[in-house]
Amino acid sequence: MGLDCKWRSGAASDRGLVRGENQDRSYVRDEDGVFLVVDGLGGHAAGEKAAETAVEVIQAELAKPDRDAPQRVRQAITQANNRIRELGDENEAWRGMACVLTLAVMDGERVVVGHVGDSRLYLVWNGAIRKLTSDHSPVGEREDCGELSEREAMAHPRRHEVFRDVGSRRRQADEEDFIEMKEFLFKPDAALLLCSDGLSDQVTSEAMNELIERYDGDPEAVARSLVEAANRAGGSDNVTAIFVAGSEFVGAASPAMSQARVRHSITRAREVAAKQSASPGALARVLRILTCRTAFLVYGFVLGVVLALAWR
Amino acid sequence: MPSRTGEEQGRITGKIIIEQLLRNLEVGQFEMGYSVLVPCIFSLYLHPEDYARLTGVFDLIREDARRALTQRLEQWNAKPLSLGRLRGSRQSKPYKPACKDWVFEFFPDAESVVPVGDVEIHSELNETPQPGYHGAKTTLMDREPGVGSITGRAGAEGAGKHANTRQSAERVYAELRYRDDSGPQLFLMTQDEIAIGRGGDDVSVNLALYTNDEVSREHLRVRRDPVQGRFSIIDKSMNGTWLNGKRLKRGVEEPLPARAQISVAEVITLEFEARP
Repeated sequence: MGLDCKWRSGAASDRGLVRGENQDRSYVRDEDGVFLVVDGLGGHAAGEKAAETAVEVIQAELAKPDRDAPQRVRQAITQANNRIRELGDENEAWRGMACVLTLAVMDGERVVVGHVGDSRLYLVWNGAIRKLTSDHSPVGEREDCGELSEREAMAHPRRHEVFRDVGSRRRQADEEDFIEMKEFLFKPDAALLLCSDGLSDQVTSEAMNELIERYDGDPEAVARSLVEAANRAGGSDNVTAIFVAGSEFVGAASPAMSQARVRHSITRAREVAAKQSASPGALARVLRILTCRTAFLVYGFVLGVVLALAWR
Repeated sequence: MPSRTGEEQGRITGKIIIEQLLRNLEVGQFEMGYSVLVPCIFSLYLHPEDYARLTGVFDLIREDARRALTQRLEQWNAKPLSLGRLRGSRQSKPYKPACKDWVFEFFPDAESVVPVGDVEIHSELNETPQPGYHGAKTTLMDREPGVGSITGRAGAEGAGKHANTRQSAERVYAELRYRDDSGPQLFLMTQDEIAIGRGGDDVSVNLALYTNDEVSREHLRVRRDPVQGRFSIIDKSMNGTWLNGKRLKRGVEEPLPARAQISVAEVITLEFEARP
């Protein structure tokens, strides 16, 4: 990636400490600005199959260039939904499989988000973290309207029930209670976090923010640290995190900023007078001019002219 | 040469101060992987005589200095000339200040180190308050013991600040609906006093708005009287707060009705509603 990239991202996923398999999947395509977290629902292999199908279909659908970003996001999630449903109908082992997902697609200066279920998207800017997606679950709904605090919701016994999913029945792209769409400005000094509920059920948003603020240019390190934090807090579920840092996002608690904080420069008008009178700078400047590439071009040209004249 | 002028006449001029600020800007660069940070907090120490003489024009010097430094950054960030590119001597990393605005603070030199006509400038990359720093000169070495405590502070505070989500099952006293650059939002007020603004490294706000610099880092506060349950509002901003269309006086507490429209610098409108 060049220096002029608008964001850098990193992802991490783990099955956690309790579950036997990892039914979470993630898909990251930095060059196109596509970030997707999927959490599979269903016993044994079914949840994994649902999550994998979602990633495959969404990846293929987003590659079709003929529509605007919000339409592509809607269409991609709907196609994934209907494909998962089809597979479930065709194969007894996959019957009833589904998933929840959060998909973010960069579109110029904006981010287009399509979201179904209880995975989450957070926006981090200026030291504050904000959850931008709603949780499509009874507990999440009560948390969003203030009936439950974040910690109460995290500890709630019905935390894992969702009332929206991708794959349990056939859907139309524009159905009202299906895809939650969101669009917002992505500032260069902002960052995004997409995660499965394995993270948000174990780690408060403040604790996530604390880890994010340690970002020091390695987005994958942040994603890994978030996954590790979820496991340290119990690891009761599969956990996946995708961290996307804008080109100017700097973690407030990063080693670079900590170093920067304790650094300062002291200058005095009179010391510059002393230095300039000794003028070592002038000599260096002349030397640099005499040895730069343009100077050698000039030498070549003069040499050529002299030789041509001598030839005559 | 400006500094010599200063020496000869024994008087410091605004021009010298600004030239020294520009030099400090260059000396204080802090290179990172993808950009170069430049200092944005400058403490200027003057001889007490000079300080007394210039007190009236500090604001004008600040204004000029702000222009000069901004212009210098623009120059550095401008596309290098083709000749420069041939030489390959220019780096392509963008230069940027580590905070949003330049800060210039003037101090009289109390330690008799700065002679008449001179200026000593201490600059910092950003706005972390330095214990015992302002008003008393410190050097890099003097501050070594501070390193640990500053890092510790960042870690400890980072854990608890600036989250727009709630911590415990407190009662919701009021809700604020608004739309900022992140889309429509709902904030639930569960404390007796909340700070609202853009926030920042050192400014902890309860409701952090995702918006532009028109909004101050701490723009306003909303308070609730715990006994009577009545709300009030205080503007703390540069660009103003409007309550139901009427501009508030900065720093003056005004009663806030149970339903109200609060305009933040005319950029964002907060729909305030007290919950019964």
